[in-house]
Amino acid sequence: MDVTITGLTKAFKGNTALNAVDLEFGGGMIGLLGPNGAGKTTLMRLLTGILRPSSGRITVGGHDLGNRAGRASVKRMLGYLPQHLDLYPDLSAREFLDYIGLLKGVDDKRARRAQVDALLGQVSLADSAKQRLGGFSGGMKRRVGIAQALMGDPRLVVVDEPTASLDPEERMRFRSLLASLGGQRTVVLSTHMLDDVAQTCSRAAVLAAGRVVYDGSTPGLTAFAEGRTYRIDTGGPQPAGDFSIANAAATGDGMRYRVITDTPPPKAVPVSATLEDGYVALMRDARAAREEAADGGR
Amino acid sequence: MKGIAVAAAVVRYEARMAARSRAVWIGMVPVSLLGAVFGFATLTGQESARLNAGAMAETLLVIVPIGVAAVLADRLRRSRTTGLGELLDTMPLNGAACTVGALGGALAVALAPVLALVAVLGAVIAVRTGDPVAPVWALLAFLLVVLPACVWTAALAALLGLALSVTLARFLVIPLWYWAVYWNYTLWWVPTPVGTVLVPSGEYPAQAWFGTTPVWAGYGQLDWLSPAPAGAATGLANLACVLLGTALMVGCARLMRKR
Repeated sequence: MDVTITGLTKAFKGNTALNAVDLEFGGGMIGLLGPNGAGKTTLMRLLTGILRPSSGRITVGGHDLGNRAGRASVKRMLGYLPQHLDLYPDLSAREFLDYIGLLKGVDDKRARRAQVDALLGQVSLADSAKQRLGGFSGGMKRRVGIAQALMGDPRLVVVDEPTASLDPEERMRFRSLLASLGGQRTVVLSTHMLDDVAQTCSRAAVLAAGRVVYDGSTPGLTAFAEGRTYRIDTGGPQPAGDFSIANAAATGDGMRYRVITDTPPPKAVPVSATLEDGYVALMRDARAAREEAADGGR
Repeated sequence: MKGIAVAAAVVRYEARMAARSRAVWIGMVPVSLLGAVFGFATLTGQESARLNAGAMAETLLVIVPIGVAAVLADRLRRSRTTGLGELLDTMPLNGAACTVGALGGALAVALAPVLALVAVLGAVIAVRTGDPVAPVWALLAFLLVVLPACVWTAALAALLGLALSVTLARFLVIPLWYWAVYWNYTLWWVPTPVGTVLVPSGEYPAQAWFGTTPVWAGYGQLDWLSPAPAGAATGLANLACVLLGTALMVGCARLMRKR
């Protein structure tokens, strides 16, 4: 399923959430990274047809989301898990999935039941199938959420911040579930958690202030921090200088900082870069570019 | 799948959810009991079963529609909760049929105790008048007098529930109902649709098919909207207007849900 986004802009009452975004991807999983407010959720909503773009174009499998017929066609092949999803508390997991299956146009009762059973097994909720959703934990609800996104065997699955509110064990469980989704499908995973993308997506796109600042392989992000990552040990206080802190950890007798900079302070020790360092370096560069552009505009 | 089939499926699930919702029963059981008190009070047994059934249905309108409205004010709002509205917006079959189904399913459950009450009252009418067909008259009175009013108020409440807070909608629908159906504008003049064919007061159909004597029907503020009750023609005109009004409110609700 090829998705092509061209010159996509979305503004809300004068605030530009997305600014001339160009992105193209095909089958498999793509991770959409970025800080809060970068425009990820707006892009997800545009991609699912919930919002209409201010300008630009999105085509999914050749169908243009800008017109009614295109949106109708895309909806038939779409699975979506919103960032926050309150489920009907009075329905059981099985009933909820069956209901969603009906709304997705899975007419045949037997086929729907088979799909519901298979998905409940896939998300490890077969034993809780008859339990009301109102009694489910946050992690269980999230798993029902992903199961409903997969009802109707969609070719495009859009998942927005799926692990945001999960405890570490549920998060790991959910990640392995996400990793199994790719294959024939196109899966767009929006998150601000690097680990989610690192463990599930071979490709990543990074948004910052409504623009795509990186589009490439996930490991490729590391390159942004290579030769610019340093370790600084202090007695406690944060060191001063022109750098971005990628990590800080207590060492017992002080603090160890991991920083990204082009002008390392004295006593800074170069270390090999990680994916997290690469992301911080990218954000730092994007911020600097924006400031430079703003200064140039004055 | 066609729209009707989708609506039927939605009705099934919405009815299931409403049946499991304590609030629906907490609202409708006392309303039905109060309706029983009013209903029994109107049964004289001295006239025909048909007339008794019509009078009983008109009496139920004093309390039942506002009970239904209060209970169903949240029905369309609840599917706009965090994420769920967004999710439903991405469904290929989330059209007008779903809005109708969401309201219809919950309404069917809310009216179940009222229907049971009507069955009991029909049996009582049969005993008192000696007419074995009385339960059928009672059922017809429910379908032609009580049901249209409840559908209308349910749509009004659900629309208000989308536009305002659900609590405010629940409170607001009570004065709106009495203003639209019972306001005595000769005592205190305010513009009101009382007495016109626009509102589901039940008087036009009750006169048309059950022979009751209307109080307000035909005495509305606008003559051209207040024809004198004259049997099936005005009864059908009233039902058509009520249906149209309901469709308009559901249409507005649909637009608001899409926003």
